[in-house]
This record gives sequence, C-alpha cells and structure tokens, in this order.
Amino acid sequence: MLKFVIFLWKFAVGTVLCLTPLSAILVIGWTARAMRRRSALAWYRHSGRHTASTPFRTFAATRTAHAHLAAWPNWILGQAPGAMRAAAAAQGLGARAVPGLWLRILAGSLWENFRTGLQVLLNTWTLTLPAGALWLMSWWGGWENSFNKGYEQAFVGPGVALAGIAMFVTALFHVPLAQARQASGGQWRVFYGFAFVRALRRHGRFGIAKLALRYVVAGAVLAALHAAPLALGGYLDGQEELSAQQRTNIAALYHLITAAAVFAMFVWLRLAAAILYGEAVLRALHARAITRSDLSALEQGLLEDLDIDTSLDETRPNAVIRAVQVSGRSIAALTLTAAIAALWFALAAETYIAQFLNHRWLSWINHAFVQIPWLG
Amino acid sequence: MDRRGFTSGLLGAGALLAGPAPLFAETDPTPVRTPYGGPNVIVIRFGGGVRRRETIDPDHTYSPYLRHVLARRGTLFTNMRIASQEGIVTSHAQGTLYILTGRYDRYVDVEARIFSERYEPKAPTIFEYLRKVYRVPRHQALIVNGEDRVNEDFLTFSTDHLYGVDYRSSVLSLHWFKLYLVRRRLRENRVSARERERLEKQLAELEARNYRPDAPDRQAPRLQDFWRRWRRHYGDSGLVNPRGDRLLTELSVRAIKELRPRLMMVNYQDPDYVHWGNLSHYTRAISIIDQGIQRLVETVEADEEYRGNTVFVVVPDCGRDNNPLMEVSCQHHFNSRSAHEIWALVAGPGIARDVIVDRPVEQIAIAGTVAQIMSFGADQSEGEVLAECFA
Repeated sequence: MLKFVIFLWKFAVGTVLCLTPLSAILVIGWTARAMRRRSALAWYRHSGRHTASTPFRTFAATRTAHAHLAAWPNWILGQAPGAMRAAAAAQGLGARAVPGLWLRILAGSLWENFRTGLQVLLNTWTLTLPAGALWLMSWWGGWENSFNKGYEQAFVGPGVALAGIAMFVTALFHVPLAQARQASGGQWRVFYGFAFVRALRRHGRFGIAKLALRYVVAGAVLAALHAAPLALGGYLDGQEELSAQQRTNIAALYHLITAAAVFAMFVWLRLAAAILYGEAVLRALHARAITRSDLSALEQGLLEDLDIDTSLDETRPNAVIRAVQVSGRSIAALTLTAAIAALWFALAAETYIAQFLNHRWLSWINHAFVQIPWLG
Repeated sequence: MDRRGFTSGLLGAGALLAGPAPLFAETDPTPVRTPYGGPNVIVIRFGGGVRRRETIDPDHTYSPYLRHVLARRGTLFTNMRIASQEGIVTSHAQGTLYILTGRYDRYVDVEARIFSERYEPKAPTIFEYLRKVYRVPRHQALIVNGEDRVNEDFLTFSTDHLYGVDYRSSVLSLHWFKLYLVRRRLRENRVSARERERLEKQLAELEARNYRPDAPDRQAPRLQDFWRRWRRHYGDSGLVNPRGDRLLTELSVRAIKELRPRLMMVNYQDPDYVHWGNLSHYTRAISIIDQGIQRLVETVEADEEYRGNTVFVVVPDCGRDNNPLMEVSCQHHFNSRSAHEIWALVAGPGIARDVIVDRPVEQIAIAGTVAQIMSFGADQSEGEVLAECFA
C-alpha cells in the first residue's frame, strides 16, 4: 500500500511538472537518475550477485556508493539520507558541515533533478536544436513564400525542411544512447563520446530499432494529443450552455491528461534507452569494442562490485563461417540502419502532421520525448 | 446507358434538330431569348473561409472598405449561416456550389476519391438560369478563379438535363491562360523539338485536369482574344502578372473593361492559407480581398455603362473555427459552429442603403436573391429571397 501511495505521489508530481517547460527540466533530471538506476539494474541481472533472495534494491542499499540507486529517485528529499549521514560521519565532518548536510537531506533531490536535467537538456539541444530551427524557418519561410506566390524560390522551403529532417534523423542515431550514457555515468561530457556511442550502436542495432519503434508509437500518441484540441475546442465552441468556468475546467483537464501521458511515455522511453544502453555496454565490453576505462568512475565501480565477467569470448568459428557471418551481419546491419532511419523519419513526419492539425510555433523546436517533456 | 451517355445523346439530338450548325458554336440553343437589360451583378466570394470577427465586426475588421464604406451603401446581413445538417460541409467548393445553385446538395468526388474535390453541380447555377432566359453570350457570364483550386474551373454547368453545358459560364484563370498559351506556342514555328515535346506533355497534363467529359476544353473566341491581350501585356513567364488574390482582381478589372460581363463571380481564396498556422496570412489575405473589392467598385464607378447599373453581392464560402484551445483559433473550418457562421452584403442600384439585417438567413438565399435582381427564375433553388435588401 505504501509503495502504491509513493508511486502516486511521484507520478502526480511528474505530471504537474510537465505542465510548464521550466518545471519540466526537473522531470528530465529525475528521469536521468531513474535511468542510472535502470541501467545498473540491467547489469545486476547479468552479475553473479543476482539471486532471488537478493533483489537489486537490497544489494544497492548495503553499499554506500550505490545506496542512491536502491529506490526510485525522489523529487525533493535527498536520496538515501542514511547513507549521506554515514558518509559524513566516515569523513569526520564537524558541526559546520551539519547545515549543509541537512540541506542535502531535505532538498538534495530537487537540486540534483534540476542540475542533471539542465545538463541533459543543454547537451540534447546542441545536437537537436539546429534541426528544429530549420524546421521552424522552413515552415514559416516556405508558407510565407507560398502565400506571396514566390514561384522563383519555391524550392527553398521544402529544401530547408528536408535538410532539417536529415539533421534530426542523423542526430537521433546518437542522442538517445548519449542521453543514457550521460545518465548512467553522471557526467555531462560523456554525451559527446561519439566513438563510444558508435561502438554501442554496432552492438545494439536491433535494440535501437526497437527503441525507435517505441518512439514512433509514443510519438503517434503525442501527435494525437497535440491535435486533440481541434476536436475538443470545436466541441466547446458549439456548447453555448457551458459557462466560462466550465470551459476553463475542461481545458485544464485536457492539459492535465496530456501532461500525465507525456510524463508516462517520456519515462517509458528513457528507461527503455537505459536498458538498451546497459545491455549494449556489456556486449561491447565482451567484444572488446570498448574497455572499462572508457566508462565513468561510477560505472567502473559498479561493474567491479557486481563482479560481471566482461572477458572476450575466445571461441571463434573458422574463416569461412566467419566470412559468411560478417557479410550476413553487414547486410543485416545495413537493413537495420535503414529501418532505424525510416523510423526516425516517421517521428519527424508525426510532428509535421500534428503541426498541420494544430500549429504551435514552439513545437518545431521542442519534441516532448527528445527534449523537454512538455506539449505546450 | 449512364448519365453522361444520356446527356451526350440529348445534345446530339438537339444539334440535329437545330440544323447543320456546329454543336458548340455561339448559337442560341433555345429559340427565344431576350437581350439582357441589366443590372449587372458581380458576386464576390469572400473566400477561403473567414470569420465574422475579422470581416464585418467594425471593431476588429481587416476589411475596412467593405465594412465602413461599402456596407453603408447596401444591406448587410450579419447573421447568414450555412445550415448544420447531415451532409452539409463548411468548405470552399461546397460553399461555392451552395451559392451558385441555391441548394444544400451533398457532393462527392466524381470518382469517389478521398481528398479529391471534383464536383458537378447537381442543380442549375445562376449562370445557367441567366443564359437560358437571356441572350447573354458565354464571355459575359464569367467566373474568375485562382490558381490553387483548379477543380473549381469546372463548376461552370450542372448535370440538369434542361440546362447544362449549353448555358455554362466561362472561366478566367491561370489554368485557362496556360492552356491558351501552350496551344499557341505549339502552333508557333519557333519552338524547338525538345521544347515541343515539353509543351505537348504540359498540354496533356493541363487537359487532364478537366474531369467533365461534356465540357469543351476550348474557350469562346472573345476569351481567346482576352488571353492574347493578356499575353501581350504580361508575357509568357507567369512571373510578371499579379499573383494570388491580386491576380483575381486584375483579371476581373480587365474582364469588366474588355468582356463586359453581365454576371461575374470572383472567387477569392487566400485567407485559407491560415490552415498552415500563420495567422498573419489570414488577416493579410482579408485585407488584400478588401483592396480588391475597392478596386472593383472603383472600376465599375468609372465605367459609364456599369456605373449605377451594377449590383455587388459579397458572401463568404464558409466561416472558420473559433477554437479556444488552439494557438491559432481559426486555423481550420472543420464543421464547427463558427465555421457555419457567415454574412452577406448586397450593394448597388435598387438595393436598400445602410441597412443591417440580423435575422438568421441561409447561404442558399444568394441564388434566389441574384435571380430576383436579374429578373430570372431560379426554380430549383431552395433558398428564400433576401427581401430586406430591396429598396
């Protein structure tokens, strides 16, 4: 029962925070912390420590360094206050450190959610905002030109739009895994490890395709929510007997339902990316495509504690079978890459369709599942 | 035998009875038709879908000439509606047909294709009624269309077997100019083989736009002359003439001066650009139409034959949404209450001046009202006559 109440609390807060773009930054950070926990859980399930009698939360709670992963992240209160006090005591911190410790206990998660969320968002923007800007300018400029019947430069609007879509698709080959890596590693710089993410892609293509498909499915729901005011508002316009307050209430209910759906799907997608990241890291370690030193200190420590065997698989097939496997893998890899590109393109197309039905300028530069979980 | 076969057979039989004259020559299909003495009527479709707020609301209008000047010279119906019934659609082609025929008929694409709006008027249009009663040649019964809705170029006659293609109106539009131009260029010897091939392909594409097998794809000689002068003035490129709804104004002004139409309908359209989300396209387009109306009125007043002898009827094809939940509240016109709310303005000789009528009236009243102004019967029209507008 307590767990259910806690779940309701966390879900309600997440929903309310998704009502504005500024507060939604906290959701990005909170979700990143949940992603860190989820990828750790994915590793735990591969480790020898994993038993039915020792669930992950028990394992994490008994280790000071990983105590913050034992439970879902808090919105406001510091994570694992007991571990914080123990760590402070172990360091022999004096009375002067007590106010700071209490601040971290009472509001540590609030700060962590904001700090992490802002870092993730700024990183995501560097790779996705230019594409969104091109979408916005191509839509505005293209239709402005069409309205004025500028036949001579009719190609500009569609051309810029296609360039923006190409940038978006290219960026999404990197961004979801990079977000997961930043969440897991706890460092903003690792977002820009392009070689690392490329290596993970090679060892997680099918998982990436599944993730992209999830994005498209969630994106379709998002597009429907985006377009819903067309029907709902039309209905409200026809109901003359409704008072102004009743109309306001209905509008507020729509925004609340949308925020709840956006929050749920945002978390669902990001956790799926975290699982994919965790699995891909292990496969890449096994294949020696990456090494433990490529990981953050947090991740290295966790792998050490989990005692996961990441040694190279020494059994290799003969040369002929290897050649067949390699060529087959190349064809499969190309096919999967094309499929992933098509899925990211579909995500972009959903935005265009939704925008035609209910145009919002900011929706060109913000996708609720890629950037800020807010529909506007 | 299908409907098209029946109509063709009827026309053929009529040709035999009429004698050896060619089927589509400028001969009277009906033995007795009197000359038309006036007044001329110019129907302006304030189209693309507009709300009352941005047009006739004096405090929020983007069409100040219409609202503050022309409305004072005529009768403004502030509460005109498109009926809210099954099968009635608040859109452009449908609204145009409701205006032209005076009926809320249900329209489906001729081949039932989705998102295709190739319609055939099911009842006679006001042009057919006029030309059956009066000796008005085709070049004086005009529809002026924009370039974005070519299908509306073929709403010129109905499928009614007592009216139809012999009483059709003619169309002034870029589509018809292109047809004229391509055919002319193909007849010119200066065209290279490669260019000829391109032109022939273009001609085939243009001719394929005509989805009405009964409709001839060549216009009357007076209209060919009109296009010849247009070409001489603006050239072949299509980049020199006015564009968008300003093109319609230019075509209409030139038509008044050169073709002397007795009944003309100008189908403005550009406010519909707001579908793509930019509100300024909607308000800017309304202003452009307003300036076009002003220019048409001034052209009429500068012409001795038209001055004091021309009635303007201004009416939207449909309204637009008033959606409180959308950033652009009037982005669409998908059958909301506001999309059914329009207005009409009638101004000219014999019309009551500076009168505002706020009782509910229907869009299908326009056809019957034009019929009364021009003294012909519109027997299949179902709308009332807007009696308040007559002085």
